[in-house]
Amino acid sequence: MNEAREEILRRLRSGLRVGLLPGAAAEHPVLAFATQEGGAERFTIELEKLSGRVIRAQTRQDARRTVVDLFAEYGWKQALVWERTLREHPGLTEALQQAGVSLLTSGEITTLSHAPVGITGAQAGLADSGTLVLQNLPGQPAPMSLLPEVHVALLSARDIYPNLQNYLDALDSPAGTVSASSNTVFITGPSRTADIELSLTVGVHGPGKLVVILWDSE
Amino acid sequence: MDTHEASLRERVTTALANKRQLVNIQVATDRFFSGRLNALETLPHADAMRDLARAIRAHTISRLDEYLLQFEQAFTALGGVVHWARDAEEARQIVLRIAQDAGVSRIAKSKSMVTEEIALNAALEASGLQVVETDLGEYIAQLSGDRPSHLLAPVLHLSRQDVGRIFAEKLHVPYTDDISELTAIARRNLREVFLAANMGITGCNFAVAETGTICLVTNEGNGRMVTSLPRVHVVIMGMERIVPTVKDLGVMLQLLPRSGTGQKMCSYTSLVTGPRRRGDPYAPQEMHVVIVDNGRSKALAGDLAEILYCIRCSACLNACPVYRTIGGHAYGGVYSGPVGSVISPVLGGLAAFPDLPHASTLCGACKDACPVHIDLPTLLLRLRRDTVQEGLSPAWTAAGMKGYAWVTRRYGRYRLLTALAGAVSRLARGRWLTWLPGPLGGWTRYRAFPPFAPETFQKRNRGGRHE
Repeated sequence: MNEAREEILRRLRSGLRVGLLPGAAAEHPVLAFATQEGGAERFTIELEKLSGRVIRAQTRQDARRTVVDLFAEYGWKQALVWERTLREHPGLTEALQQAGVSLLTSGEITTLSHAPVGITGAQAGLADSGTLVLQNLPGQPAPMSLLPEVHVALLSARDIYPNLQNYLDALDSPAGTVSASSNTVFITGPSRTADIELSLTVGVHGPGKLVVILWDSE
Repeated sequence: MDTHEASLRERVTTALANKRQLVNIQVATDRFFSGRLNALETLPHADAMRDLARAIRAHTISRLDEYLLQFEQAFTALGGVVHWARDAEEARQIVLRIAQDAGVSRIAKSKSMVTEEIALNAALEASGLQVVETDLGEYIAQLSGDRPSHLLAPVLHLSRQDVGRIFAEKLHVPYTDDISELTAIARRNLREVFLAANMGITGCNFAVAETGTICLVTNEGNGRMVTSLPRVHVVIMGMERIVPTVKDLGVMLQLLPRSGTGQKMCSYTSLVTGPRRRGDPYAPQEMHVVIVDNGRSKALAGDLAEILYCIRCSACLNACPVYRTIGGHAYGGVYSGPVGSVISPVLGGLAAFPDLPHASTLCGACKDACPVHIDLPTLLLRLRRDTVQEGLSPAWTAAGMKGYAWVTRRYGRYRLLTALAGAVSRLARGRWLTWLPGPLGGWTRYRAFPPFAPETFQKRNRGGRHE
C-alpha cells in the first residue's frame, strides 16, 4: 500500500521534472469575477426552461399557504419534509396536517423511498441556471430531495445569487461552507435522461417534478 | 501492413455498416455541438473562463504531487481512507479487498470511465459480487452485454425497439417501445438495486484538494443515490482529476456541462465531503478513494503530458469529423474520439493502438472545441512521430518517405517526377483518378484523386501565361 503510494509520488516527481506542460504557472491563477445581473426573475425563467415550476409568493405566510394549495391541487396525502423547513415556516405542520397530509421527517430509507413528495428548503439559488443549493445536515437530510417523485423547495428570493461564481464569492469561506456538510448538491431542474434515442425524459431516478416556491419578504 | 491497421479498418467497416448507429451519432453530435455553442454564449466572458480553466489545469498538473497529498490529508481528516494504485490490477485488488473487508455483496455503480479503463466490473463479478450499472444508458449496455459508444450517451447505437426487446428479455417485462414507460421500468428496477446495495462505486469528475471533496455530475440522480444510500462508498479516481480549491471547481463546473451536453448545469452536481457524520444518518458509514495512476505518471514525463489537462467533457468527440462518421466503438479503446486517440495509446501503450493517431484529419476542430484548449492535433502528430520511432508504422511509409526525399533532393529527379505526373494527368484527360498502384491505392479505395496540372508551375511561369 504505502509502497504503491511512495512509488507513484516518486514517478510523479521525476515526471514533473521533464514533462512538457504548456501554460503551467508556478503560482495558482488569480480568480476574480464580475458581479452579474440576475435575481428572482432570471431564476424563474431559467428553471421554467428546464420544465421546473416556480410559484411566486410575497411573504413567508403566503409561501406556507401556497404549499397547502399545491398539495390540494395535486391531492398528495403524504410527504417527507425537513424539520428545519417546518421550524422556519411556523404553522406549516398544522396547516398540512389539517389538509390530511401525513408528514415524515425521518425514518428508514425503505420507508422514505415510497413517499410521493419531499418538501425542503434551500440555502441558495443561482439565477443564471435556475439552480438550488442544498446541504445534507441534521434536520435537512438529502433523501428528501431525491427519493420522491416530486420535490417541493421553499426558497427565499434574498438567497438568490446571479451565478455560481458570485455565490462562491459571497461566502465567507467556500471551503468552510462545503466542509460543513458530507453532501452538498446543486439541483438544476428535474431528474432527466436522454439515453434512449436522445429523447428527453424526466424522473429517471430522482424527482420528475420540481416545484420551487419562491417568496419575497417577511 | 500490421494487424492493428487491419483491425482499425475492420472496426470502421463494421461501424459504417450499422446505418442506425451512423444516423444516431450524426443527430447526437450535431445536437451536442450546437448545444455547446449556445451554452457558451450564455456564459459571460466565456473565452476568459476557458483561459482561466486551462491555467488552473496546467498549474494543478504541474504540482500534482503536492495537491494529491493535500487531498489525501483533507479526505483522511474527514474519516475517509485513501488508497494508491499503480496500475489497473492493483486498483482492482484494492476494490476487491475493500468489498471483502466490509462484507458486501451487492454493488450499485454510477457511470465512470476510469472503472471501464481498469475493467473493474469483470473482476468484481469474477469474485462473485453482483454489480449493477445505474446510469440508464450504461444499465441498458450492461443488460445487453454491449460496450458504451459515447462518453455521455452510451447507447447511442440502439433504437427504442432494441431497448424494449432487451428489457423484455432480461427483465421479464411486457415489451414496450414507449420511452417514458421504458424509463419508468428502469426507475422501478434500479430503485430496488439502490435500496439493496451495500456498496456504491463511482468515478469522480473532480476532487477538491483543500476540502477532500469528491464532485460528481449526473443528470439522472443515480450519482446521488449511489453516494448516499449504500453503507460503503468507493470512489475510483484518475490521478489527474484534482482541482486545488472550491472556487477552481466553480470554474470547471461552468464549463464541463456546457461543453458536454450544452447544459448550463447538469441536474445534479454533488459535492461529497467525507463519510457520515454525527446526526447525519443518510450518508455512507465508510468512504474510500482509490487514486489510480495506470500510466498517468508516465504520460506526465513526456511531451504528451498536456492530455492530463482533459476534463472529460466530450466536446472534442462531437466536433470531430472522424468520430461523427465512425462513432465510438471503432476506436477500439475505452476512450474514443480525439481525446481517446491520445489517451488510449498514452495509457495502454502505443503498440496496442498504433493506428489511432491516424484516425484524425488534423483539422483542429477538437482543439477549438476543447474548454481547456488542449492542442490535440499537435499531440496526435507527436504520437505519429512516436509510431515511426518505435518502428510501429508500416514499412512502406518509411520506404515511401525515403523515396520522396531521394527524388526531391535533386532538381533533375524532381523535374522528371513532375513531368511524369503531368503525363499521367494528360492520359486521364483531366478526369479524377479512381485507381492508383500499390500502397497509394489506399487513397483511391474510398475516393478519387484529383489530376495534376498538365503543366508544372515553373513551365507555365516561364511561358509567361497568367490566368
